[in-house]
Amino acid sequence: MDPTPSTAADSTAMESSRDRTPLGALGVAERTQADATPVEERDVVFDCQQVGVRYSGTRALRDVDLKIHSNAVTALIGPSGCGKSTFLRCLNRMNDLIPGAAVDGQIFYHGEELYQPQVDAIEVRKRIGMVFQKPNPFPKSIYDNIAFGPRVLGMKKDLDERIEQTLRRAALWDEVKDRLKEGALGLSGGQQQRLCIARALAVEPDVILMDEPCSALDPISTSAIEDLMLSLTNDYTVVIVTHNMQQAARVADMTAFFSVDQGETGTRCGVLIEVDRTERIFTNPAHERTEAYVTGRFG
Amino acid sequence: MREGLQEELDELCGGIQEEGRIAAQAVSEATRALVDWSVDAFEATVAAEEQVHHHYQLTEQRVESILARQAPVASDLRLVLAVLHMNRSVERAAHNAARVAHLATPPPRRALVEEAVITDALRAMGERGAEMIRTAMDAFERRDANANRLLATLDELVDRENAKIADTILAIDITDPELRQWASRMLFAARWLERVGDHAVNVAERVTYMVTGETSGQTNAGA
Repeated sequence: MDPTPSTAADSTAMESSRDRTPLGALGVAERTQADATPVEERDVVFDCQQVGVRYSGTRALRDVDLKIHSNAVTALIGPSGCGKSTFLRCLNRMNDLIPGAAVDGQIFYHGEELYQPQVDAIEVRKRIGMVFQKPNPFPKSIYDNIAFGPRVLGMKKDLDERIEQTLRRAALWDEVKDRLKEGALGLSGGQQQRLCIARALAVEPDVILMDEPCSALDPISTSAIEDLMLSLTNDYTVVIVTHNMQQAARVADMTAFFSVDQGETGTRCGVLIEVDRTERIFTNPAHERTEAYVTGRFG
Repeated sequence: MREGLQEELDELCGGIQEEGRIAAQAVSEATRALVDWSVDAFEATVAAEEQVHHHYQLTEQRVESILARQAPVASDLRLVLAVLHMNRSVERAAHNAARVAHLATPPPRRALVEEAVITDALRAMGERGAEMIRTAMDAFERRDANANRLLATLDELVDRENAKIADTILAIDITDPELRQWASRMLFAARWLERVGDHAVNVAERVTYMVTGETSGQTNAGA
């Protein structure tokens, strides 16, 4: 079971508010519409330099150098244990919540170092929302699920309008507009996952992190989430971890392939092998380990 | 791993190799039919074209099946895409060979000094075209990304023979209807043999793409 909270709002509830860095101090740029600009030329949202993670002293990930660009979907792929979810959790300081986890290297978010002591992790998770593998709506009404984060964060003005806009952005409004006061647990799995995405959107994030968001969904619900991901790039930057390579091929602008290096003593550590445009990764990857993995010849 | 995909890719490669082998044979037989007026060669050309067409359809079905069921990526995808395009080029080369064979006709009774020049050039073009197909298919077998350069050089030689035939025919005083008909048939035959060379170049270009992922953008589409 994932010990991390399910939304930025949850994390707000779990952690006491510290000296918060104002939003502007994080250097959040004006959102721009995804346009014809090549992905690599768009603003850099995350500039990760030599990022590594240790759990209780055991290294799980090392030396990740990766830039994530705005208004695009970046997919993290790789075999189990390669550290892709661990890396994803570094991007909104979710690893802070795991006892014994230590992140090294530097992650710059819009130019500001994310792990500086004065940066408020709660503010970070508000700006960088997260959606998990299994839909986890609160046992409350659809309305209250979306309203939870804004209420906790004091964003109570025009709440009804915010909720409608959020549900529209999550492509769920038409399906739930007549039953907003009904329980969220009555929704289908795919609807629940879109509700969780809407819940993350409700607090006006800049980035949405998704950790295998479709692995528990049927193909139709998966298709709806994938369509949603693409539409979200108009306003948000999306980073997704997926085991489904075809999903990465379908939705991602950029794809990063992680793998596992095994040391002489049998220790295993995740490493980033290659990052490139998705079409390049799936037609002509530069690294033979990527080639072996995407063609299914990974041994 | 992915043994099913590997088996299907092997089958695809074996099929296109056989198709290429028969297409080269068709070009050789068509050339013999054209310049030696061999009925056996004509019939062999027609039969070879039918075989190539059969392989063409099989290859298309295999490509369709692999794409639909195996969703190949990276080098596997490039192989499948390369074969899809090569299939078209090889089939066109064999079809052009059949066109050439159908143009076979003895020269007019009146002795013509230029006849030897034309038939020698046609024979050279045909032999070169067949050789080019074999070379291109060999490049596919060996995954030779540089064979496209050799094929382009050989194609220039074919083009040169084609130009020589055209110049020779245009220089003849063609007032004799029988001679005019023969000359025009040889002109068309030269054109189809010239296209065989182009198709062989296309095959080699696809091999380059398959190996490197890069295209030169110099493929010769069309007949």
